[in-house]
Amino acid sequence: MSQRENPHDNDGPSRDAEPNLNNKAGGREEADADGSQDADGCQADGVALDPKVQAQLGRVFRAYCDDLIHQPIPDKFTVLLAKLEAKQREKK
Amino acid sequence: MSDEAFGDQMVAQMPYLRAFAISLCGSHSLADDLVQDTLVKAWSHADSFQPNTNLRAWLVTILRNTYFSSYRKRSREVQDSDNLLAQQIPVKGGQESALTLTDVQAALDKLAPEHKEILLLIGITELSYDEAAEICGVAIGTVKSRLNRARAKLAEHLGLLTPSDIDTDPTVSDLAARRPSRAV
Repeated sequence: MSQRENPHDNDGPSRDAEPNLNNKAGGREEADADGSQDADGCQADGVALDPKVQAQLGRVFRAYCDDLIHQPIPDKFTVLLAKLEAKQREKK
Repeated sequence: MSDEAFGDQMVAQMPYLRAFAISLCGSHSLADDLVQDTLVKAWSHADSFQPNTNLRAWLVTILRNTYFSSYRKRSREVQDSDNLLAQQIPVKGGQESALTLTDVQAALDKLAPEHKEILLLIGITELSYDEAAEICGVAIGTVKSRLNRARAKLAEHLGLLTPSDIDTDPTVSDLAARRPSRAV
């Protein structure tokens, strides 16, 4: 079982509300996610962002991440992976 | 797990691995070398991967450790030598912003390494806080506090903070003067 599925993981709600530092709902939800972190003292350092700023940052950062994740994978990696797999088979 | 299944799953993780590498290195060419090293290491240690655990977290761990041991110094030398990203992103409702994805990369590069890393682990590789904590070798509370600080710093570097935010934080009191131009 992966850690992700651990039923004792008490971090679930904030993960769900905030999977990618993004706030698709536009402000309130992110504030709630931060609020849930208050409970375990992680906001004690006073760096909580205004929900509007948080939402803007979420959009900007999500756009950046999406751009990178969707960049085409060069063919050389497909070739390399096939070679590595073939090499592994030879070893056995 | 059969070699074939392992290979197929590696292919599926490529977009995340490469995105993480590009963001860490700030260069396509260096990132591709890093991904290549990671894939070779992953295959040579394939036996140590535990089936039914998260392959992406395992690969990201190898990539991250390879980066810090062999690539970080080089990445500072070659950053921005090739055009990673150019697209403009609207920041406020429908309004065109002067911010580009390159600005985001530059802002990330200004962060402390442990802050940049945690943003990328959660944002790009989409790992859980637990997995990020294990990869960085810190407690989950540290992951959360690093994320908060990293977000605040990133917002500051991107000029997203409003004057009222700045009033509450004396360390960024001159931010308004340094805001990027909003001219379209």
